Amino acid sequence: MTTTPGRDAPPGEPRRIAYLYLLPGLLLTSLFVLLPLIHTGWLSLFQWDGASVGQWVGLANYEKIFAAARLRELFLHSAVLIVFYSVIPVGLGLFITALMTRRPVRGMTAYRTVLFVPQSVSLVVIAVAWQWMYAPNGIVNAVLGTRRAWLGDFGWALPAIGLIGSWLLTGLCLVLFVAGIQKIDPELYAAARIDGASPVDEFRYVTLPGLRAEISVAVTLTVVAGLRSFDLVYVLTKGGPGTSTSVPGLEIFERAFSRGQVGSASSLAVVLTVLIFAITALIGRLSKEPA
Amino acid sequence: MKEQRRRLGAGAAILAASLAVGACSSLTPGSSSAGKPDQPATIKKLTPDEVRALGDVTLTMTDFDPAGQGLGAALDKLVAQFHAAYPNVTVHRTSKDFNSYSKTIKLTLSEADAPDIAQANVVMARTLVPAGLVRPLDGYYDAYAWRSRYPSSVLDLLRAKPDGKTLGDGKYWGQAIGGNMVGVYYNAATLKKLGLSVPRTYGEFERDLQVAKDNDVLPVQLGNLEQWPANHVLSTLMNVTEDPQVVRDWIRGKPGATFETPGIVAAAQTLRDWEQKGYLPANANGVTNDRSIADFGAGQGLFYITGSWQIPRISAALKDDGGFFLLPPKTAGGPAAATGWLANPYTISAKSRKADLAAFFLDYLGGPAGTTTAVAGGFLPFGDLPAGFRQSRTASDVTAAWRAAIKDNGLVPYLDFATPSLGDAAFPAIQSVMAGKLQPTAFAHTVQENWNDYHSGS
Repeated sequence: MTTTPGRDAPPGEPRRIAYLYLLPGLLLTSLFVLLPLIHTGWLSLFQWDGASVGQWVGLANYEKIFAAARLRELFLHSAVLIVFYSVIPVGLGLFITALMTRRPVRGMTAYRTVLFVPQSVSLVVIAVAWQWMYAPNGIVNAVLGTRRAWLGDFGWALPAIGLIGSWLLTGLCLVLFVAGIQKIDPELYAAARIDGASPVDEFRYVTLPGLRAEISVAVTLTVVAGLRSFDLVYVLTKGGPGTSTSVPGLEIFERAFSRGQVGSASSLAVVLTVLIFAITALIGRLSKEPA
Repeated sequence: MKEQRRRLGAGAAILAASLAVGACSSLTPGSSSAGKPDQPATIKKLTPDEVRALGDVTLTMTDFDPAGQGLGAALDKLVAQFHAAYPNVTVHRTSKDFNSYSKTIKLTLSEADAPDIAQANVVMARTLVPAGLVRPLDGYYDAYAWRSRYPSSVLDLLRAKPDGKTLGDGKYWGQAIGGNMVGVYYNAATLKKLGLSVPRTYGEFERDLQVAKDNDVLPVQLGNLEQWPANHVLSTLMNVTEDPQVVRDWIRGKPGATFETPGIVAAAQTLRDWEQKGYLPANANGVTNDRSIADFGAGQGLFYITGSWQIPRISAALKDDGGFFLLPPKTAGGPAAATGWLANPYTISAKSRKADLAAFFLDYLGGPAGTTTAVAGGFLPFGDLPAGFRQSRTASDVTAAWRAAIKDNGLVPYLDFATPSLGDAAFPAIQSVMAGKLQPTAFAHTVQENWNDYHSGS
């Protein structure tokens, strides 16, 4: 078989023509992702109400963000949400997956579907449904025998929202892990059992390393979901009671569209984007195979 | 190494390309969209004959009164009536729900083909006026004698300085059909059962609350999950504990005005006291406004402090037992004061080429011809109602209270008109005050800081 490489390039070296193939995707990404991102960065250097002529303020918006104690509270809420959006779903997903590897479960497809269904429902619908369930006369109180207004309680509102996230994202993690486990060679489990490995050992030395890539994807997706959470909070509590469930995403929205502070909203958006990039990169690095 | 450099190169190329695209439009945000503040001063008051002689014309208007509901339906009827009187003029109305509307109105009016007429509340006006997107209406105010339509407490906020921050001075930016107002709805059957009558002083009102509490009746129904409903309770209390003019001056941005007054702090303290004494539902912060209105309609609660926009629901649920009064003053017979203002002012776009016709239409909407339709749709009228006009018990109570407030020049506009971000600053803080997490003085300070930030231009 003969190859026809580019005139100067040795075989295997990427050819210029590759850029042509990349062009459509690159154009779309530039137009709808990169350009808005750069535009946001540009707007963040102005004081602008969204209608009249903006005023150049340089980095003043950023200085204010880092000086505002109030904003630290928002990121603290994000950290709490990450526990509910990421730690619990990934942990629960791994646990269920581990149980399944021990012995085949009858009707597994049905369970998997049920756990994944929340993913396919609109978030607003989910939020409204949970708002009913959390109401003082809702089903949550009926089950617990209490009459607490979960979403109106300064201590409980944030965990209540977080739990919805856990419920929502466990299915996603599970589907990822179940897909991943199918590519682990069954003989590894057989070998482990012959060597007398306990279920815990088996999980630790076979399942976990085999799922490294999937766990990395799950953690990335769920952490990002926690950081950029907006919809549930917006529909359920608007950040209340007080500011006890306020998150950066909500603050950006309010600044840009309610308060006419487009510049400072953009700067906060840039900070959040950078933070998400940094955390994603960190997760990617940590989950690399040890050399 | 080589690979990395190439990646860098590609990145730089993308960056440069995007900047170039960005540079095509003018780079300073808003510079291409802002309207021209200077309008030709020549305005004309059209006569009905002149309007009929215009030939076929279309006026476009946009508002946040979605079709089918009270105000929206009333507007549709008014538009149809106008078209019947002037068949050559077609008014084309588009509406959005309030949330989407308030977030897109700046863009809508920045378009080259902006609608001729656009609804705007005070907060929207604060950005539309300095951006030059709406036309000053002073000429039309003179020509149509609109000033005499409203009490001076209402007119204040219809005028804005060019920066949009100080109101009550400068040019008129809007005109309106009618108003709305917050007050105390009561369940007349429950009141009677408790052996009480409509209170004439604030002291009597508080005594009624305690009587209700002692008889295991919820004194004041409230659902505050959305954060804004309790603001209506607080501002209503402020009308008793503070001079309305102090609050009005503060809202319109009078230099040196402050929210940190003993009267305002006392109102916040009263709200907290009500919470502690069990006058409010224990879980008010976790119940939706909608739910609480339904509960009140089902007989749970003696009083409900909310706006005239709830007349249809409360009168439908309580029938002749749905009564309404203004929170009474400290001494019997004192001047009536209430939180209330225009329901929805209309502006004329700076880009409109049919401003004279638009003004003629607005005059029609707010004039006697429109009053009955407007009232049927839920607006509170500034003009007189025709003799024999039938209203529900609730609506006629509200209308009577409205007349009293206007007569005493006692309308105090909504607190969140004070700055574009006041709601964000104050509403969550009111929840915190109710829960005892924020002291009333600290609350007043938080709100005043927001005001200071806005007026110091940061």
